[in-house]
Amino acid sequence: MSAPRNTFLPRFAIAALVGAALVALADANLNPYLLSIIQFIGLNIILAVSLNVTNGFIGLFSLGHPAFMTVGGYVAAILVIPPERKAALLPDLPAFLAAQEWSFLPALIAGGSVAALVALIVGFPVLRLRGHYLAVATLGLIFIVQSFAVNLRGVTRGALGLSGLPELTNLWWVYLFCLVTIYVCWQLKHSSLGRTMLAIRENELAASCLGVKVARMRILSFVLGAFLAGIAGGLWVHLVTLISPSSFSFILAFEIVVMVVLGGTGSITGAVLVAVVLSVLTQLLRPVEEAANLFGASQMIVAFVVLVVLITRPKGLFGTAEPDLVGWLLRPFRKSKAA
Amino acid sequence: MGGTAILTVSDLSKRFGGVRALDGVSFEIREGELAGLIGPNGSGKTTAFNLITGVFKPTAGTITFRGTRVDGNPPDRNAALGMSRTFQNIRLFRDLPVIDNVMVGLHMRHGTGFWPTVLRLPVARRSEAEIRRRALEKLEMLGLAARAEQIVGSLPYGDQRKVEFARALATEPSLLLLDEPTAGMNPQETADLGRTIQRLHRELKITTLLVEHDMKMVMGICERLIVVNQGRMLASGAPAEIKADPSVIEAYLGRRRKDGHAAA
Repeated sequence: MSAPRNTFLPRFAIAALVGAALVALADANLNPYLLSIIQFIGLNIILAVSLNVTNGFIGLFSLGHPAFMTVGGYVAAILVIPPERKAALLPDLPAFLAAQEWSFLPALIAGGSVAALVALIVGFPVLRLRGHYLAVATLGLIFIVQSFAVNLRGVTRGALGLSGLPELTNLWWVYLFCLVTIYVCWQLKHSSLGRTMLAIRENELAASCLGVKVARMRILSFVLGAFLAGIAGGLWVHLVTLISPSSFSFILAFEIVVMVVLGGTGSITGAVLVAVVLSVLTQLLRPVEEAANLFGASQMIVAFVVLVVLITRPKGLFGTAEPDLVGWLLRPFRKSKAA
Repeated sequence: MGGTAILTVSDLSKRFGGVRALDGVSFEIREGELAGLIGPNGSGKTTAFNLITGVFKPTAGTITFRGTRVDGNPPDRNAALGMSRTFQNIRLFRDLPVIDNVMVGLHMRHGTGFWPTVLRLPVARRSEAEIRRRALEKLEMLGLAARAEQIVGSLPYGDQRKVEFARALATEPSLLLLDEPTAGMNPQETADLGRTIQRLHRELKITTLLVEHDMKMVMGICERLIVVNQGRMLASGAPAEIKADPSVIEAYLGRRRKDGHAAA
């Protein structure tokens, strides 16, 4: 754990630059369909890495990400839609909202912030719960947020949802927030503050007897995860140009949890890798499923893989470790230099 | 060492359902002393520790630490006030390296908040360096510096105990509470640990309260003993007095019946 602490920034910078070059290349050459698939991969990375803060670092089993994505998605969408279109789409919208026309970035951040606020309010009662109880409570949160979205017709247009949203999300935005997410979570994990989170996961009583404010740290991790999930929600809805109460369901929660569990509870590298592999696999299997008329086969395969990993490696592929992937990728170059 | 009281426990009681784990216990710990809290199994020693540190709330009674009432405080508040403890059944952060275990204890007094951490402000980097330096210092004190980067769960039992010590010292306490530090150790290790406790007490001048089973060790190192039995105070005084106290002998060895049959 000590090695990547000092070498993180240069490696992160190298990886970010290489990534940016790849993004530029992809942006110029790939068709919109492939580009959208890559963006979904990026969104999955944001979701998996941010869920890892609660489920991996501090050991709270939350399923609440879709709820925060719904909140973030609606807030960003309503702020971005131009007033004249709002008049047609949402005639009952309160006046102060109807007049807003925000640009994309502030709208995304507002979406993340409102999601974080929801997490803060919900967190006080809910984070007293542990393990399965917390999982069930956060699952309940998804349905509560959904029913708000269905019933607040004046603001959300109810079950119809908001369609025809401007297509503002592109690969650059997704990439930017991937970098922000990974950077923030990495800094946190490899800091004194992050260490207290891992300590809470390992032994809550011992941590509190050492002066760690357990409740406050729980809220912090929950709110941070919700903020990033809210941003991912805003990005998502401006990629598919649609948001409805059922956009983000508990099935999505399951998919994100699988990424965290497979990658390793607490491993950022693991979460990123599994997010990429799973998203690609699902896309590759889709034509196979259609051809063989075996819908849902990929989900069954994923469930099977989860079982195997949980039996053989209960802490996921990497546990809490961060294997040095950049160093590993650079190794051939170093060797040739030496030779 | 007739210093002033750093910890005053009066009429402390704790009931778990119908069980009186602790029943009106009162004692004082004086500034700078190395005291022992002893008693047979189930006499309420660990319960007393859990009440003092805030793990449990007392049913009745008061606890005063350095002039402030602390009964009912959560553990993190008492830690901030200067209490630190170890656990009878070791409670380390098993998956973390040895040094990280100790560094967690230093966060309270030397760590930084969320924004400096995430923005990598110079204050965060300075605090991290300071925490690492002080953690290494604590490990050196216990002869564990060479093991700093090992995962703590992989260490031998005796060393894990010492890591718990180092971690407890990391909070920079004014009162150190050690809960059966020699549990599960052989006589050799017990004697070794007793010397370590004595040395740390002498060098760091931290008031230390020790819950202990091993009478030989306690008698050897403690300056004053407090005896509890079945949740009640039995006696307190210098080791020699305690050894000669008939009520203590009776609690440990049982009473001889009038007709001569030994009772359990």
